[in-house]
Amino acid sequence: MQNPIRNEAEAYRFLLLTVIAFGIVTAVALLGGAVPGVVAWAVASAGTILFYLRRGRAGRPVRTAPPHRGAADECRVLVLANDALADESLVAGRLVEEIQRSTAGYRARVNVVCPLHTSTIRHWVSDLDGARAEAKNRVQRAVEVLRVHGCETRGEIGDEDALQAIEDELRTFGADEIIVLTRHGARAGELDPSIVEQARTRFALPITHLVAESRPEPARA
Amino acid sequence: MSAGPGGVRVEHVRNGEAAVTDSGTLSPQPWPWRGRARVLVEHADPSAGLAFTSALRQAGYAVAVCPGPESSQRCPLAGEEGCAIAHDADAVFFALGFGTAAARQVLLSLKTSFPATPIFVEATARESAEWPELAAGCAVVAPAVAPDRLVALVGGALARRGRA
Repeated sequence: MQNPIRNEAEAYRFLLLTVIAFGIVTAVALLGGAVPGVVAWAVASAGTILFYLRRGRAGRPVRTAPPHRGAADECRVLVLANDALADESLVAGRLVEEIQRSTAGYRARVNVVCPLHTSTIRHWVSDLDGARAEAKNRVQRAVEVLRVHGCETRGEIGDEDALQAIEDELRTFGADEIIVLTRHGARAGELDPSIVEQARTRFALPITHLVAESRPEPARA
Repeated sequence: MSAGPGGVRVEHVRNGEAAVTDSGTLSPQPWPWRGRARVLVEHADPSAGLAFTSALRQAGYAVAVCPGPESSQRCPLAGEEGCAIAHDADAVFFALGFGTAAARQVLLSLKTSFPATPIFVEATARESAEWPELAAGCAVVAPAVAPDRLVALVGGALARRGRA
């Protein structure tokens, strides 16, 4: 979902309007009683929702892309994945094939980015270090696999918000192609496949979606 | 008029009259990519838009692709809110055609709001003759222009303005 408040100025205006609206609601409630107060609140809320719904239909999304980075003979690929990186057959198979296809005729440079997803429980107990270590291991294994297949690759942990992670990478790495790996039947906390459509709506770059069908067996003690 | 929080006060021309816009109020959101020349591609076909994007990016430009308004929609450029992407573009490639009133309004708004920005318009000779006031002041290119040709045209125009 796109945030209806698009920048700092709009957030400031929204806050100002909220304060004014609640001032009016409070005044109406004090002067007229609870029922007129509730009516004033309902009218103010409905007006705000209608305003943002109407404005949201004003235009279609504009997609953007940063300039190409690196030498002219270089093609940079951003791989965005989280739990699907654990599927080594996918990484060594279809991912390598897709990278080779999209960078054919160019020198490939690959950056594997893993958005740091944490479960609610982990978030509440602040077990972020554990989640980060697991993600780091997955990235490292994927980087090694891609290097074995001749791809100049590096890896890193990205923003928890996957779209933000892509945008961060486009600023620093400047990818020419994006490949997103998700799991079939992604569970809570895993990279949501809807990120692909969101990214296609936002970035004017070729975006490929690979889906891991298998789920690795849990490690036995 | 002063700029709001996070906004930049920008002077431009709207409907033939000087106007001032606080860029913080514009939508869609401003360009996320700074520091390089920026080209706005107005094209309804996503795959064609990507082909132009690829060539322009390879030449070092940041690119935005706008599909234009659908028939039931209006372009924010033509409304009060304006369009931050168009506002900050260094050049525009308009390939929405002259076939709909909405598309013609987009081009008219681009021309009147940003008269100093080079605009390349993809149009047939017949369209140019039928809508001379729209084609006037723009660099008209024949339909199905090759991406490399567009890159050369944009590069030439921006070099003349010191923005290449």
